[in-house]
Amino acid sequence: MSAIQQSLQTAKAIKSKLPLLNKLRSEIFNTVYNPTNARTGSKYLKKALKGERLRDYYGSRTLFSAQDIADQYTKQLDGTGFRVVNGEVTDRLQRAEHYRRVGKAAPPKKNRKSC
Amino acid sequence: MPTYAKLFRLPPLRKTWGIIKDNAKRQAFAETELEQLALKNIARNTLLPTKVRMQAQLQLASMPNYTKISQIRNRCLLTGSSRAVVGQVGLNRNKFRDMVLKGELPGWTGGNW
Repeated sequence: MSAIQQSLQTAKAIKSKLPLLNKLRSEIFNTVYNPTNARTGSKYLKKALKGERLRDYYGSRTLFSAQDIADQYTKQLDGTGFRVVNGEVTDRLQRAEHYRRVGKAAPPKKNRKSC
Repeated sequence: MPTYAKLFRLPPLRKTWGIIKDNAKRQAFAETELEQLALKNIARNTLLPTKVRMQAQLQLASMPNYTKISQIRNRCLLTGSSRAVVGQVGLNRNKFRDMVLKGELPGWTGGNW
């Protein structure tokens, strides 16, 4: 037996020291030391969040309509002689007026006594 | 749920009741996702005392159904139907076929054999 062979440790001796090595490693790299593999629920914190992707399936919530813009500027343009025109609304009103002239409009509402 | 679902705005789609409800579920899930994960973390942690874990689990169970991810279902963006939706496009199979055969979807062609 050479001197080198005598200085080597047996496999059993090395294996008994492995937990100590792992503990030291976790202290150095700032990781969790969990030798018994106890369930700590950390996998729920590591999960990637999917809320953002699912929320925008039907499109982003920041979408706004033409009426929203019109509502913003109606007060500012009050005395200036300018006004914001919403095409959809004017179209609808024109159509309703046309129907009324032709005689195809909806009948007037009945007067309700109390509600 | 009915009044709650109408609170959330939608882009100019053809709105069906199913789409409105599903949209509300998506918004609710996105808002409470972190809370759910935190409660799950506590409830599944075996190092914590059982009383704390039970409380977390009860809190998770007491959240309304529409905040759960399992309630969300992909729907057709044009018709609102929930069945046979092609995942990559977000359309029902009939609408998808029509648009492909018209050539309105780039990258998709009809089969030929």
